[in-house]
Amino acid sequence: MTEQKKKIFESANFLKGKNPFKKISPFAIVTYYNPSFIKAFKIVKRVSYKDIPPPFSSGNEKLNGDVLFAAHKNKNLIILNGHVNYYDGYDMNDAAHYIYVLQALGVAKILFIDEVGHLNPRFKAGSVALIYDHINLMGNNPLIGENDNSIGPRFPDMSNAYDEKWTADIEKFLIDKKFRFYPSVYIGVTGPETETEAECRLYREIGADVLGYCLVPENIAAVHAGLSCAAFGIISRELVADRLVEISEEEKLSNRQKAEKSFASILAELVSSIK
Amino acid sequence: MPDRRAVNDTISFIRGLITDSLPNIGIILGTGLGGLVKDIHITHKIDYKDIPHFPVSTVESHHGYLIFGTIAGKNCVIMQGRFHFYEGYLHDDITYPVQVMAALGLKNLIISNACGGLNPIFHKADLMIMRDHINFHFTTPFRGNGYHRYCNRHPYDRDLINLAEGVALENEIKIQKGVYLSLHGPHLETRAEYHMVRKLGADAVGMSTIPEALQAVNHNMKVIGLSIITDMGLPDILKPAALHEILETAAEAEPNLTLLTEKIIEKMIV
Repeated sequence: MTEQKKKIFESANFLKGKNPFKKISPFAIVTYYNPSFIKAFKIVKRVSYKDIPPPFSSGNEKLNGDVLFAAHKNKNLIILNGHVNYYDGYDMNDAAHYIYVLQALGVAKILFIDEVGHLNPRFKAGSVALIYDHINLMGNNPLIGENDNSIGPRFPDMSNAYDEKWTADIEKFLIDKKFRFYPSVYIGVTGPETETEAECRLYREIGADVLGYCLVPENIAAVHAGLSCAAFGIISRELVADRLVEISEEEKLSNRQKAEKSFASILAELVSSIK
Repeated sequence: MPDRRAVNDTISFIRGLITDSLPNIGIILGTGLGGLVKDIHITHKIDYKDIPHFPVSTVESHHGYLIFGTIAGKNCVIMQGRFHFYEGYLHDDITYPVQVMAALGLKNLIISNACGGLNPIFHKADLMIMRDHINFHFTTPFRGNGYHRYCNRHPYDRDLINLAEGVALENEIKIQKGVYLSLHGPHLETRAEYHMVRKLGADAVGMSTIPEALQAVNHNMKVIGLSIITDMGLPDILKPAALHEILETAAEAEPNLTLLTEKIIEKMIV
């Protein structure tokens, strides 16, 4: 067994011991830290990332976030509450680790939710994007290095990175609910600094609609491990090159909260509709 | 940077084995040029793991041997098995063999690879001469190492490109020319990424070759890059690519690439 696999099992076994349910759910949500929409679920058990062994090589002390075992109606689910951010100095492998742990726990489907800025001028801050595809412009990915073939193939295919069928189901669901969403291509950059006007223009030119910092490494790991993925972006800021203005953290937060509020009931219903 | 002493160690090990005249042409075999080995009059075959300071390949479909011999009567050294960025090697490691070749006095380098076609006029199993490249590795072999003379205007030698085109015409081999863009890999690209790299000016996308080409040019070697288009990355009609299909396409194009390479070597002025 590879060192990587041992670490995955160590974390997975620890979490299995904390699982309050009879069976572990095959469905998980991976989101940024503490969005208001997780209140739509009943949190049964909370395990802080810091307490999950083994610690990352770059240390876990400052890691912000937790694994939530949550319930909704007759369903239970796992929520990774908080991303392992590359811009905080963690390796891509660290971000990938929790995804592999989810797979080891028996998760087969992950819904990712990331905070994004919109490059597409027709979008609106304070709304929700449905992500169909991504571009990796982070200059790194979690698969570089030796491959453990028991986790996934050496050369994973990315033509269905966001499962076409599942995404189409979600799309249909949202339309039925008359919920406004923006179909998007996501571009992953490292952050944490905000984007210059020229960068915003470049990202738009090469085909992106929304921009974020966290989704790409997690999605690549999930595809590698054979998991089915779908993704939402919570649009907290406008990044349209020709009308770029600086916005305050407060404004960003209020945009985010506005989107979260409208999204909460939809997300809960979406979760209960997942087969 | 692998220090000078390491390269000297490797060189004296090789010189200890090779007593006859040293080669003047280096070849890096990528996916789909493996068959060239059959046509070499082999004088020495050395396992990478026996060569001091040599990195070791981890990809299953790649062997790791440094082969000395003659092709078309010319002395060559062939790398059977190469090192990729996605395996976790630094550009220093990837280009270590090229530094050794340069120290052995080689002046010409032929690099082959398998890659995905982006230019819609290309077809699966086409051969492509690398006209130019775009480095998307976010690093280079010279990072922190200084450089000798590197000029990146024309990494691929114009005379060798002309020679290769002539050879292809003479032997009725269909050939494309294009710009090769290298990404990290190992995963294949998403639709949005194929769309992006095409828009950025690439005709083909792969995961190798650029580090070696950069290092070779830095050592005043003449470089030619030859690609096999093993699958088409057309974003609007993208289908999942299967590794076995990619290898099958590489095998289909292999006879042509082998012939082209041999004829280039035959006509090369060394």
